[in-house]
Amino acid sequence: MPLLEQPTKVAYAPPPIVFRATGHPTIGGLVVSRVAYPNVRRTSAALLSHVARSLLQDEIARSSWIVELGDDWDEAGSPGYAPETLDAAVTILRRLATLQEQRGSFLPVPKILPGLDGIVELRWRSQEWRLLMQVQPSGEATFYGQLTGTSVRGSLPADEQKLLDWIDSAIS
Amino acid sequence: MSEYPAEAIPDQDNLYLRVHRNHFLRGEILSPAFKGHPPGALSTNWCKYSTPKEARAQGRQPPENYGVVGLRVGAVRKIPQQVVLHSPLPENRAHTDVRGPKGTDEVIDGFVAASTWKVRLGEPL
Repeated sequence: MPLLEQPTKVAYAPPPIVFRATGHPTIGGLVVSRVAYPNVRRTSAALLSHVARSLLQDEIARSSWIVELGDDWDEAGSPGYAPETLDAAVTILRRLATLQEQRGSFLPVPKILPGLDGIVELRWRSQEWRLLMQVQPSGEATFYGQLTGTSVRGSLPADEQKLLDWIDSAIS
Repeated sequence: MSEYPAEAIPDQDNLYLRVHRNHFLRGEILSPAFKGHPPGALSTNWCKYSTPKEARAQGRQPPENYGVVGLRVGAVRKIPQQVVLHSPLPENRAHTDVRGPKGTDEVIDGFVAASTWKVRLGEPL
């Protein structure tokens, strides 16, 4: 029996997926609601995976305007953003999401933002923890995170496992 | 040369930082807001001699283009390599520089985490 009846027509079009605080399964602290998935017969890992990928894809699509920012976009002299930098950030994000899912949980969706000096920034923030990653025009990435009483810092790909372990502890 | 003496700023005081509307997006203050001009020297107003609204009015653009965040001095001093230096100007006794490199993840995260809105963008003058 299929888990979903024609879900993609709902999942990938506005209005956005709605979440509410009930006893339903969660993704990164968010609760899956049947409001946006009226045809869902039952929730499952497959559905959560589907929603998590959908949310991530929404954020990636939303970030595409960053490369349209030209030099001095902020009237304070900041340079614009190379498509390659955004591509590198998206590649990193997709890889982390895939690896996190292989670990049995889902990567919360960050905000993809214009950063300093042509850098693309990924920001995760919740009440308990926060993580900031900068992706350089060269494709190099560094990160710093804080969870009550502990912090993590490093660069990718060298510290990928350390980062994933820390994310595990943050979202568990 | 300022006619005002530089003073020691206590940890519990606030610094007010103007945030241009271009540096506020989707509920987030963007990193370039903390870069400073020249880079590394972030201009703020010390609360002893300024209100948030006065800080808002001192930008190059009309005040409605800015919001103002407060930065607790003690929190700023905990951000790596950041030095808070009262540097009064003849026309602004409150002027205070936060000096130090601004580009690392930890520094940006520190400034973002330390910021609390005092005057929100779009707030009436």
